Amino acid sequence: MTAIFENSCVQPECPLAVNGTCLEGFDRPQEECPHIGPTERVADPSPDQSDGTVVAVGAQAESSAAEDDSESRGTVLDLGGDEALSLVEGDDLTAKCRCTVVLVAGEFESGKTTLLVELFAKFLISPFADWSFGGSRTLRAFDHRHKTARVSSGAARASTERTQDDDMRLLHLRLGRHDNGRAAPPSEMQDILVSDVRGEFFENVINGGDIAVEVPLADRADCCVVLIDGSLLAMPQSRHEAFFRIRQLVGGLTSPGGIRDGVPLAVICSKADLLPPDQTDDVTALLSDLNGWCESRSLHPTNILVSARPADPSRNEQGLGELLRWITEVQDREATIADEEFVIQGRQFWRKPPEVA
Amino acid sequence: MSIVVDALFAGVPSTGKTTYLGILYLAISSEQQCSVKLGSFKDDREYMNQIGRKLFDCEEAAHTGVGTSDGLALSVMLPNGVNAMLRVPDLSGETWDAALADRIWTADLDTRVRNAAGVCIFIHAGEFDMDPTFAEVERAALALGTSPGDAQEPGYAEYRDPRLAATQVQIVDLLQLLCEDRAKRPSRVSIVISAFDLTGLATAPQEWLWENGPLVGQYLEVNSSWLESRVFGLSAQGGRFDEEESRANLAKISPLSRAFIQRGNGSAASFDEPVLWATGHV
Repeated sequence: MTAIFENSCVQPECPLAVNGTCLEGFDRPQEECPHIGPTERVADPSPDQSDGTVVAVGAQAESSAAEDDSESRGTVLDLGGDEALSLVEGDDLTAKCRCTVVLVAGEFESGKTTLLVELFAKFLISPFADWSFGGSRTLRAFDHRHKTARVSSGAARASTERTQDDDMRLLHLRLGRHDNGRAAPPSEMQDILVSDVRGEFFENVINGGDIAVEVPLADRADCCVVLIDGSLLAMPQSRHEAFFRIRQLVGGLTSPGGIRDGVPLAVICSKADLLPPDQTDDVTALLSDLNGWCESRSLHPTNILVSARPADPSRNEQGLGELLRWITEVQDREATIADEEFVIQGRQFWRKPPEVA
Repeated sequence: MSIVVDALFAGVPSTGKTTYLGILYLAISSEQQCSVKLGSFKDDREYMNQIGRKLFDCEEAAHTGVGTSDGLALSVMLPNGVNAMLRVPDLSGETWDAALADRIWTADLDTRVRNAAGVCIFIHAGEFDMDPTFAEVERAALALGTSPGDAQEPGYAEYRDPRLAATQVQIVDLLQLLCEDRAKRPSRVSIVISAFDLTGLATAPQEWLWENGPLVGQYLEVNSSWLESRVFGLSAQGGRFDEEESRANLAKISPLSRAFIQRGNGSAASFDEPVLWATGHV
């Protein structure tokens, strides 16, 4: 049999081929009807098709595929985006765009997560610290972490849930340089990946744990923020031990396998609103001691007092803008990369590239 | 020669998608306050006539169930003279709820999203949830000289769906899911603020959105090199149907006369402009 293809209606019930009338009502169906397509006319008809019935290939294809399609159409797809990024997902992101990876280190309840969510929350109100919000791969994760600061949580007052995840997790922010109404060119966009890690891992480092084992993303960080709990500094009886432990944390973070040489370091006094004004000199002196110790180890920390969520809600936050500016300046700095294998076209990747023969 | 124009409406329940579909249908069918012309009277319009009747009767649109396969499918002539089949499925708001809260949707919807020529995202002006923080409520109370309990709507935490983020976060989430992750670039999005009459009309739609959803405004500005956006303020009903006196007054006026739509700057638009612009036909 010889098959001839001609343009006709693929809808089986359409009388177009019989009397020229379009089922959809188009006056010029060949030009206007979207159901016109190639159909097969059997040139040597079998006895069953002796009247020249047009077999609509398209319709046949549709009906046979429909059964297969009906299952796939109902397939439920996972959209993701509900959690902070894993290290593998962070790796994928850094492979696509230049990201500043920020390691936020500090003991349990030092304010790490509160710092991150309050930074995000600034953009819920307006552009902040010369930057505008340009998106986040972890928008829901930020929202979840911020939930307990909102009235809708049903709680009596604002709080931050303890980080539960045992895995190293990253929160993502894309920012564009704020310039009223103007699109930020790529050169003025920044992608920031900030770690959200349980304080217990850093306590293990303080207690002598291997940084490469406890916090494996440390050697991938482009900058490091170390938090000192301001609520401990507020009390003279706990202040000195707090600084003692911070030295051990910084020492552990900068040990082999930890943050790389030349990576910028910021020492943040969190909950700075709790520091009594008459204790400021003592705290300043202790910070100065800490800085001197860091300098002796070729570290040049920046000190920032931060009050991300003041205990007195009538007070404004403090220090978040300075912190954000410090982070966003990292991309402008030239970092000393110890291991050239990790740098490809100026980008830092998580996985080592395959060895070139 | 005829083309198919597929548009997608997105928005959680009760954001005015179906009601807008109704007024759009009435406008196109009547060839009033729209740019397209009706191409045929033979399209299946049973579903759309049911929706349109609600507007004539000053009744709220019926809730669109999940699994509804109806919507707008009209033969039209576009402003440029091209004949087209304009298709807008009437998807349930719960579909978008599931996407935002449970992070799932069907393969069919995924295909629709990827194949859509343009997207319209709907938000309801009267239900724009700011989801305030404790600090914001306390500061508001101090400014008002009241207690924090007085500054916040009673029972707010109880009636609010805990799975959903604040409205502006939902909008950015939708923009990322629909436009950033799946649309061809450059892409377009129309953001339609429904029930815009409830705002008192003191501010134009774009200004209103920037004031109430600053996160959205920032996202759209930062990404404007690949994502074009327009904001529209819509009142498809022209007023409240749930208040007896208002309803009685509205019933005396034809649907197309009581409804209105504004561009971002507050100027009057045609009812089909959000769809035509988002799909690149204006």
